[in-house]
Amino acid sequence: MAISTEILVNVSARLYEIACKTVPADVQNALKEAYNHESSCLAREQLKQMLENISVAKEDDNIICQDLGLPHFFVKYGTRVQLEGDGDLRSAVSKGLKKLYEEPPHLWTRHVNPLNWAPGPNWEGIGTPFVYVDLLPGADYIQLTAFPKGTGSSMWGKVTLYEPKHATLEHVTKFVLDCLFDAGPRACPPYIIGVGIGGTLDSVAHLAKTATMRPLGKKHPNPDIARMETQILGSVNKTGIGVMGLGGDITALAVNIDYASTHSYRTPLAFELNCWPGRQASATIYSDGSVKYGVG
Amino acid sequence: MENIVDIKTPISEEDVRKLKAGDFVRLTGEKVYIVANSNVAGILLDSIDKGQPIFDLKGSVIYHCPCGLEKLDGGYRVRWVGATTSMMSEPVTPRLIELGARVIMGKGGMGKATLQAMQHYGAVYLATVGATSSLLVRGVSKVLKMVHPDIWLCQLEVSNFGPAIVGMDAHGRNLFDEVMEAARQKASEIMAQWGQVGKS
Repeated sequence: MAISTEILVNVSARLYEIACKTVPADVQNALKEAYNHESSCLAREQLKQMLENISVAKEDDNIICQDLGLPHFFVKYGTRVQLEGDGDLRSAVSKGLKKLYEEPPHLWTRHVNPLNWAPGPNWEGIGTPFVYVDLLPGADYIQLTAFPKGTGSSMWGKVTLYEPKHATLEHVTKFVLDCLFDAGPRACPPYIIGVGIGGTLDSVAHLAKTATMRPLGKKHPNPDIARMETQILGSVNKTGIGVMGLGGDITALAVNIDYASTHSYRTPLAFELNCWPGRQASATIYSDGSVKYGVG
Repeated sequence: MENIVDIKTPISEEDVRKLKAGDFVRLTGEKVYIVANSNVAGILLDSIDKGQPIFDLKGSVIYHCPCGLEKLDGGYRVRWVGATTSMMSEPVTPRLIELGARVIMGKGGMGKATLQAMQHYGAVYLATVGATSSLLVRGVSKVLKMVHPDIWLCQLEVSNFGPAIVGMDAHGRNLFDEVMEAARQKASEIMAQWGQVGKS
């Protein structure tokens, strides 16, 4: 049975709405944990407001952040899945976003042309939404994740390609701290930091970005990388930048690292961060048309 | 929570000189202007220079906010109202303060020229918590004047808006700078440990 375009459109719209109106459970838990352990009064008050905002957004059916972001969708496509019609997944996602404005909940955002900053129509842009497709061999379902990327959290990413050293803890820590100081408090800390090691220009950046999407508390399966994550998180939090840059024990909720092989004797590194809400929402769409919302 | 200072617009110089970095402030009143960045502020300053001011800045609040304005019959409703990065407004802010703004509100703090103007004329920077739009929207009573919805240039009436934190005061303190300076020191210490390992 083929998955209908209508389902893809509706699920895309619903996922983006969920991503904008809620904060994932793992992030909420990390914020509560931070609130319980934080020693700075200013940081605690701000964490309290963040947690209150999550409740109020639910009560008032409103959004977490006014910046609805540049829409990213990550698709894991089961190779046994058939799509109705021409199977234009990207167009279905675009239609879903348009529907967000044209029908309830009437959410809108405008993206600008980088050549002249002229805004486009609501949700429509050049080359957007960004849709990334990966394959799930043999699966008869699609996993779809909506990932709104706000302006603040998009501004401080960095890639360096010619690093004539291998990625030691010292080296990666220095890179992360340098990037962190460029961002300062301007992207709404406590951050979720993603680091990519290895690959090439696009792949190292992709590793860093998808690392920010990993569930909080889940370490990298490679114990060396997992240890590096813990140690760099410790260093980041020792800086004391704190919640919204007003000081405190928690500057980042996580440092997630991912890596890939690279060319000989050079080490690309990428830094990406997400703001504290860590907005994303996922659903699984099965071949029979049923949909299950939640982490896939 | 710490004591909250309630402040009403129009805000006097005395009101803001009493505030200290780290205080919590809640705002009520009609002189809250949404001016999201330098470009939008340019339009406001142009109108003042031409003798046809869009807003009267005396005792006002300037809020760095690209808000969500929904058109209704006979007016606008504010759907979302979270702060954006204040540094985008740094070039124009000393002038806004010189012209009478008493509170600059946004997120992330501002620079040296703004801090100097705050000391000289009497003004403070209020830091809202980023990505708390739903909470903040409950403090908005109505849109009093709409100038340009596409760039969010408008005047709001607010009631018990916040609390926000005094991040920069009229006595020369900038909490953001203090925290970042201490953080840089910590980072040097963290990196120095490898230097020592290498030497031993």
